Formats: sequence, C-alpha cells, structure tokens
Amino acid sequence: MTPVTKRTRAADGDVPRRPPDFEVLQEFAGAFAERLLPGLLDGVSRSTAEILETVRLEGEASRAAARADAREQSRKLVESVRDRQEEVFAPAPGIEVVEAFDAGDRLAQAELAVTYMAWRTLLCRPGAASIFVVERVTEQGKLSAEGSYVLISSAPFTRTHAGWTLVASISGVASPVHASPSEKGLRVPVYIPDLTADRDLTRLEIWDQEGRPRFVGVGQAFQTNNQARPRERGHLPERIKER
Amino acid sequence: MFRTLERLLYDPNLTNPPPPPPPANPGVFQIHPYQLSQWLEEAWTFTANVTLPHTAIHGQPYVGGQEIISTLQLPTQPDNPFLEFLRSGIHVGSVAWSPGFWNQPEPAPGEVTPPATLPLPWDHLIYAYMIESTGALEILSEVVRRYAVGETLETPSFATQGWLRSTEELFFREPPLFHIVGLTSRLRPDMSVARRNAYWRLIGMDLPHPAMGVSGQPWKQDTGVANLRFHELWLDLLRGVWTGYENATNFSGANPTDPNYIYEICRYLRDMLQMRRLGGNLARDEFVHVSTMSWFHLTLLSDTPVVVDLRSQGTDAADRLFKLGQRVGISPAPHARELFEMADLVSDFVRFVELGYFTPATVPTLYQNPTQLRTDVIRLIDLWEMATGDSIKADAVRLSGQTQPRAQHAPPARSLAVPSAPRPPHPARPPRVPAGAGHTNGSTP
Repeated sequence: MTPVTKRTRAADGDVPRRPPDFEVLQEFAGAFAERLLPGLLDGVSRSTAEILETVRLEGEASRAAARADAREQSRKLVESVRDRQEEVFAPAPGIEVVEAFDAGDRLAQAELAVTYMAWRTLLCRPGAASIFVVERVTEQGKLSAEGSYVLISSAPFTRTHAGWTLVASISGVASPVHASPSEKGLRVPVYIPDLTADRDLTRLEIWDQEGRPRFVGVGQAFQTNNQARPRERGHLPERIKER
Repeated sequence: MFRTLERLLYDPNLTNPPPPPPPANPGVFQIHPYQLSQWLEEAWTFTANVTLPHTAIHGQPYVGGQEIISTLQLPTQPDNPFLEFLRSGIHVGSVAWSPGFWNQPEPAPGEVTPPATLPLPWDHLIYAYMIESTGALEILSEVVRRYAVGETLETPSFATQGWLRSTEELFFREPPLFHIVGLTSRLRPDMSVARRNAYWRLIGMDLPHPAMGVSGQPWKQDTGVANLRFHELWLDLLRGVWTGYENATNFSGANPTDPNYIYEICRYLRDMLQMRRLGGNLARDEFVHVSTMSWFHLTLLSDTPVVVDLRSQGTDAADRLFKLGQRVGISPAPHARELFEMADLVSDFVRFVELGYFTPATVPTLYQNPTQLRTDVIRLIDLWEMATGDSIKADAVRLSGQTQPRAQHAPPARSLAVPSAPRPPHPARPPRVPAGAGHTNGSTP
C-alpha cells in the first residue's frame, strides 16, 4: 500500500512569511563571536578541569567509602566466622555439666564421698577406716562438754601430715572454722575457734594439703547439748513464761 | 548390729586400718543371751549419738522422728540403769568375752550423754529384706528346731550349744517384757508377719518365698499407705546411674546422662521413705529386724561352730547356707550369693538416698568420680541384675530414636526371684565377675 501524504494549509491569522535579513544576522553573529568566544572557550576549558577534578575527587571518595565498607563487612564477616568457630569447637554438653561445678560443689562431692566411707566404717564394712575418734576437752586435756579444745583419741593414722587441717562445723556459726592439728602428736589438745561453752560441735573433718576431706570425726565431742541447755535451765521465751 | 558388736570386740574404735580376720567362733556367740539382749537395749539408746551425717537434721538422722529414741528408751535420769543393774557387761575391746562393763568413764551429770563414744548405726531395713530373701532364717531355724527336738543331726559341740541356746532365746521365744525388741504381742503375735509388714510398708516388696504357717497375706491388711512405687523408682535410679557410668568419659558426641533426672528420682525416693518414718514409725521395727538378720548373717559369714558341726563349710555365706539347707531339707534362694553380697551395698545406698545426701551437685559422685561410693553402686547394679533378672543395663543400648515406654519397666512391688515362678527371659546376662574385678562393659576410667 502506498503511503498518503496529507498536505495542510496554514490557518487563517498566521503571520505572513518574509525573507530574513542575512546581513544583519551575520554582522550580529560576528560581533557576538568576537566578544564572547574567547571567554566561552576559556570558561569551557576551566570548567572541564574542574569537572575532571571533581570527578577525580568523587571517585576517590567513592573508592575510599567502598574500601571502608569492604573493611567493615570483612570485619563483621570475620567476627561472625570466629563466633561460629568457637561454637563449633565448644566442648560437649556433658563435659560442660561436669565442669560447671564450682569449688563448693566439688567440696560437697568430696564430703559426700568421705561421709559414705565413714558410714561404711561405722557399719564395719571392709576397707580402710575413714573416721577418727575425737573428744572435747579443756586446754589441760580434761574431758569437758564445754571445752574449746578437741583431742584425737583414736585414729587410723599415727600422726598428722604437713598441710592437714581440722575443719569444724559449730552450731550457731555460719561457716566452718579451720584449725591446725598439733605437730607434737595426736593426743595434744587443739584449740577450735568459736567453740564456746554454749555451742556444740556438729561435724569435724580432716582435710589434706590439697583441701580434700579425708577423715570424719565421731565420738564424744559431738554428744553435747550445750545449745539447748540454757532453755532447760529456765531461759524460756516470754510467752511460755507468762503461762 | 551383731556384726558391728563382733567388730567392736576386736576393734573398739573401728580405726584399725586392717580389719581383723574372722574368727572361727565369733566372740558374740560366746556371750550370754541375756547380756546380748541388754546390749540391744543399750544400742538403741546409743543411737542418739549418731551425729555423723552432714544433714539438716542434727541428732538421730535415720530414725524418722527426733524424739523416738528418748521416747522408747529406758530413762537414764536420775540414775542410768545401763551403768547399774541393766548393764550388759560386755567388755568391748577384748578378743574373748570376759565379764566387765563398757569401758567408758561415767559422764558427769548433764554433760555428756549417754555413755558411749562411738555411734552405733544400724543397717537399713532393706538389708534385713535381702538376708531374709536368701532363706537363711528358715534354714537356720529348722537347724535349731532339729537340735531341740531330736538327734537327727550331728552331735553339737559346746560352742554350738551356746549358739543354739542364744539363737532360740533371742529370736524364737517371747521377748522379755518391756524390752525394745518386744515387737510381738497378742495384737501381732507372729514376728515373721511383722517383718513382712515392715518390708511391705517401707519398700513395697514381698519376700520371694511364702510365709510358713501363715494363710493369706495378713501383713498387707490395714497398712494404709505402702511404698508400692519403690521398686519402679529404684530400677529407674539404677538405670540412670548406669547410663551415667557408661558415658562418664565421653568427650564428644551425645551424652544421655541426665543428672537432673537422677536427682529427681533420689528426691522422690527420699520423700517416699521419709514419709513412712514420720513420727519415728518403723524405727523400732527396723532395729529389731536388722538385728535379727545380722545374727544369722554372722552365723554364715565364716565357718562357725554350727557350720563345722554340720559339715557345711564353704567359701562364702551362700555355699554354707546351701549345705545347711541340704541337711535339713530346705533349698535356699537360687541367687543367695548375690543377695548376701548385695545386702550391705543396697543398705548403704538406700540409707544415703533416704537421708537426702544426693543433690544436683553431688549426684555425679555416683558415676563420675572414682570413689568407693561409685564402686559400690556399680557393683550393686551388677548384683541386682544377676539376682533379680531386672533389666538395668540393656536399656542403655536401645536404638536411637526408639522411645522407651515407662510401662516397659517391671511392675511395682515385684518380689525378688521366686524359685518356683517362671523367670522372664533375660536379654543380656552379664558374666559373673569376682569381687573387686573391673568391669568389662561400660567405661573403666
């Protein structure tokens, strides 16, 4: 199909066309060019340098920012990888449970073990004895329920070793007290701090040089009733007295 | 108690590292039964001296109520009868019995009470259950009866005559009036029923053999609450400990050990046992029954005169019991050896569970650390599985992802191996290992 070219007429009211005055235009263009062209050329050359400088600076800034971002991303990535590595190489949960015990827990386990051994000894089970017989005495070694000294009257050992410690639990005293056994022999009274006349000895252990309980004391030193005795002597609570 | 007394005769302070060898004729059997009876009364009083356990309860930790000892004991004020007319006269520390007294100075009034330096704890009631399960009481009572009524057995030696008299006086006649061992009365005339009643209430288990001359099960009547879940929880506890022992040295991979679950079972068992002891319940029963069984246990621990007279010498208590049983026509329990060896172990362990020694911090002592406690518990697991057929170790070898229904466990209150009853098939019976030998399965750190 042949394309159809449609001619249109100028609408009424159009400005009538006249031929341009080329001489005037040439004169104007010449004067304009003589006056503006050097400045224009100078401005173009100057702006090009500035643009180039600007582009260069912007490029460097962009590259610096990219390098900073890359370093930050890398740092984060390395840190996250390190976290995962630590997580991967963490010990098994079972080991963590065992190692989670603090010194108090380990002491409780050692005390349980030595208490069990002492219980076996008292029931005459076979094996080495884990008890020692202890008496509560005065400084002179005389038997007394109110004395502040203890005396080892019988033990499965003949002498105490260096570093051994007597650890005593006393009624009314929050934490156990420590005392050093005499180096002169077993039958020498040992002073127990805080063991006053109104208190009872509730437990006595011998710890070795590594702080592990080895022996448990039994016997007469624990058969006192000092803490409850004042009440028997009439030191009753007020409401009971009023009755 | 009589085993303790036997040791005290030789080692009054129990501190001699090497225990003395068992004598041919234990000194206890040479003591007059009246003195032994009084000694039991004294021993009950001495229980007040047991201050060893490191528990919240100070004083009498394993008899339930604080006041049960002083409530039932003879009064020691103003005059202490044990230092006067009721003294047993047993001189502790002498190899052979000799007249004398407890070698203790008389305490000053109000200072040190009562006159003993050593605490005298006794075994847990489950010890009596184990010993009686062997059939020792029935066989030795038949020996005493045969000797009393005729001459069907060998002529007894003089030492055997002493044992026969003491045994009959102490355990097969009416107890002395107002005595701590006087459990029977017109209200509960049969001591064997009283024992079974105590077993049923505290540990929820029956003896494997029927009660002779007793129809029905009167020991279960009017008991109210009994610890029927003891057996089920006990097996769970042993399984948990065994799992911990097997995985004690695991440093990689999964570790199925659950110390919190073990602690939870220990706590449950502790509450269950202590509930039956509220107010000092069963304390006197336990004392009497344990004392009774310790006498027969001591009789079989060595070649005592009655064992020698009946030509029943053996290498262990079960061998001697088996031969004695042949002489009087009674067969002991087929796993008597395991029961004898397990009696002490289970007594100590159950006692510690009952006293609440096991906390989340101390539970790993059962399987983690190489202690005597762990050695005893692991050996107890071996012996329990061998004696009862209860599957303890096999549960730890189940397939991954396979559920373990609780119903798989043995029913509660199941008795020990009954000779006449068909035994359930045992999945993996471990080989018998000599005492002290290392285990071939599980970890051996």
